[in-house]
Amino acid sequence: MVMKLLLDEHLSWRYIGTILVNDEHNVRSVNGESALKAMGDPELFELAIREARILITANHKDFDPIARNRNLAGASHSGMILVPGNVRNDNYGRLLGGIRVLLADILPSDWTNRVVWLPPKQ
Amino acid sequence: MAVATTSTTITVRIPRNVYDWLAQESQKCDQPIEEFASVRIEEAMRMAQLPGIFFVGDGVDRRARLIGGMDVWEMIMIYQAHGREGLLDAFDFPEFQIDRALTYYEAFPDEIDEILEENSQPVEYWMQKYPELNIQVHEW
Repeated sequence: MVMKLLLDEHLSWRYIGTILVNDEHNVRSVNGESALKAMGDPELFELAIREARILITANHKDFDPIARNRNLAGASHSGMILVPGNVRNDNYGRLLGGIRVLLADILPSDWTNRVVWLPPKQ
Repeated sequence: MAVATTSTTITVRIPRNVYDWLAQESQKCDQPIEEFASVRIEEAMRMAQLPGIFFVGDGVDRRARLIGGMDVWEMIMIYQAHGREGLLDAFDFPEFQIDRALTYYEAFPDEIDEILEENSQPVEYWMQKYPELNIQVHEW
């Protein structure tokens, strides 16, 4: 199933974005698109909502309150996957595995207002 | 960005339009005009000392950002995970952006560490802080 995704800037287009595209997902990436780099976090969140994309980010401290404020205002968002900020290149495979499972298990329509934390197994 | 803990009082004459802007903007973020002005002056000093850096955010939630790039703390976060070589391999950042972020971090480590520490808090912290989000956990 094709999912629409927006990768925040600290998620590698080369190692994550291109692989999700190969999985036939519709992916936009701040790291891969210079036009998105000038956008602030609120604008990026709005872009994800406008294009019905799930935002994947390691920026918990900024996007959590943005999503919360939107919820409190009675508006919805198109879903968010929170990943750790300390994932090294050699662990991208495992992280991608976690993202793939999520995208396969949850229907696009069920992502509205859903926030999923994706930590590595201890 | 925090205001320095030691300070000196000065009196300056500023154009009326500058005063009006300070009054309007400080009111928006519920900050005393003197404190607001002090923060903005310190930011201007840092921008002069560390070219390639500017500041974004509202009120007390101001942070250093790389011109044409991300917040400094975000660059440091992924630098700490990847190292320079890993960062250059996984991302298309110009190397000077990495150096600018590192220079800022060297000058103001406490400011960046404070943000990094909060961002790396476990899920329980965020669940408690933002219960409205109903955060779900899926391990990988």
